[in-house]
Amino acid sequence: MSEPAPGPFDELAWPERLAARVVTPGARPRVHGYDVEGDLARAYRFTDLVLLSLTGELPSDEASRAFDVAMQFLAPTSIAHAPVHAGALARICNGSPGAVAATCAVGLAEMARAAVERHRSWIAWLDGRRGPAPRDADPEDRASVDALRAAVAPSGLAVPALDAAASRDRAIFAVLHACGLAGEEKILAAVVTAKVPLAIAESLATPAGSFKVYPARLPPIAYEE
Amino acid sequence: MGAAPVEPIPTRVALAGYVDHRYFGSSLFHELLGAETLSGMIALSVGGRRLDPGERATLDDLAVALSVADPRIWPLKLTRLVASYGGTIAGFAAGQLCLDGDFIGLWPAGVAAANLVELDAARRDGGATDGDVARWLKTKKRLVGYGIPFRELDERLEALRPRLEARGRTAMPYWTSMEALSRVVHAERGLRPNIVVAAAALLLDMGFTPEQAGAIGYFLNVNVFVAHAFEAAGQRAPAMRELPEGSIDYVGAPPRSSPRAR
Repeated sequence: MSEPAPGPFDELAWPERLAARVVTPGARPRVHGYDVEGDLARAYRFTDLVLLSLTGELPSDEASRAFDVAMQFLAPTSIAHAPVHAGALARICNGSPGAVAATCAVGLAEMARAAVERHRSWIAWLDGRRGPAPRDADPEDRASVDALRAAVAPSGLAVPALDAAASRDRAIFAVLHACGLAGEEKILAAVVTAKVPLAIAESLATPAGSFKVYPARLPPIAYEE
Repeated sequence: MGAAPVEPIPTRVALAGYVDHRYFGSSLFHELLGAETLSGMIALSVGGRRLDPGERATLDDLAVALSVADPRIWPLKLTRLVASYGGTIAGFAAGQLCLDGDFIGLWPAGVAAANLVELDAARRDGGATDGDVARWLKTKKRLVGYGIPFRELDERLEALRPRLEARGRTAMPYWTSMEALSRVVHAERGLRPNIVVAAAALLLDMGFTPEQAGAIGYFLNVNVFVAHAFEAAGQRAPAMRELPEGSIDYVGAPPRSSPRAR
């Protein structure tokens, strides 16, 4: 019979403490230095807190309003889309509310990852703005882009890249970028954050255990040998 | 208005019947039940073919060798953190997500296998000497499956090797390529092979594609996540849910007031 022997986790030198970089631990939490309960919650919107968390700085009034608009444009994801469809199925399977929320969150993160990958060259162009805008991977959606432009206009935030955006995602990413979210990671984080509440709401509105009213053959899947 | 017609999405996986079910072209109850093992079902589920007994036994050996499961290994600790609220499945699921990359766990066996396939093609086109391998190696900046943190050799590979030799697996083409590559990588970069590239070679030699090799390697290692998710969910350890006071260093922005608070 062999005996337990120490290994690298026992014998090598490891840090003793974990580092916090955004939120202070303990009571009276601060985000990037700002007191949430005594300062931010009294004077700022939740979307300001989100933007602060991702950029490290409180937004200007212009960016604050434009970011709120972009997050509202991002928020709706219908049950036609896999993350919400999956969340509803988790509900139908009688998964706990936590399981439903987690299913939505994972699905939305995958959806956002795919969108960011699809628009990788666009995000890189937004970051550097060198040369002509890259070709759009998504179909044009002028009505949605115009609606976003009109909704952002009162904020006073300049989003020159909107002129080069013909698809909805591109236009929203341009606004997020103008609000200070540079790079793929931060855009992905904002997209997921925006979409989670409505995805969970739609999923939880689905009756738990409702197997018999769920369209099992939508979309059709055919077994082949 | 009815829904727009959608072409059926093909699946080779399964069809549910009333008294029996199909699974990758076989009757679940009459052909698979009583004949297959868990490792055989994993291979069938990814590769779509049934293994022979020797192949199944090799995968069983690999799964056992992979079961290094110290709770301080990063993905396993992550599993325990989420499971500490009492949810075994939530902890297990969370632990899987960080494996979706080419850095840790067995999923990267797919990348390592793709490299071995590429090397094999290069050796066929050119030559099979170590010099040819070295020329191919120059095209790779980082080579998945090489390098062993905190120790000289990968003890999992060393423990597995005699079992593979006894089963005749180390004379097979991709294993031989892997050994040749390992000689050159050690000479050129000072790195030794780890279990990831070994699993890749083994699975390629069984006829799996690189993508299938990554998926099978990954699934052969899930037992360690189940172990930690199950134990941690039962423990509901307070120190996992929240680290003790004083164990965090805040290194972010100093306290400040917003313009609207002033």
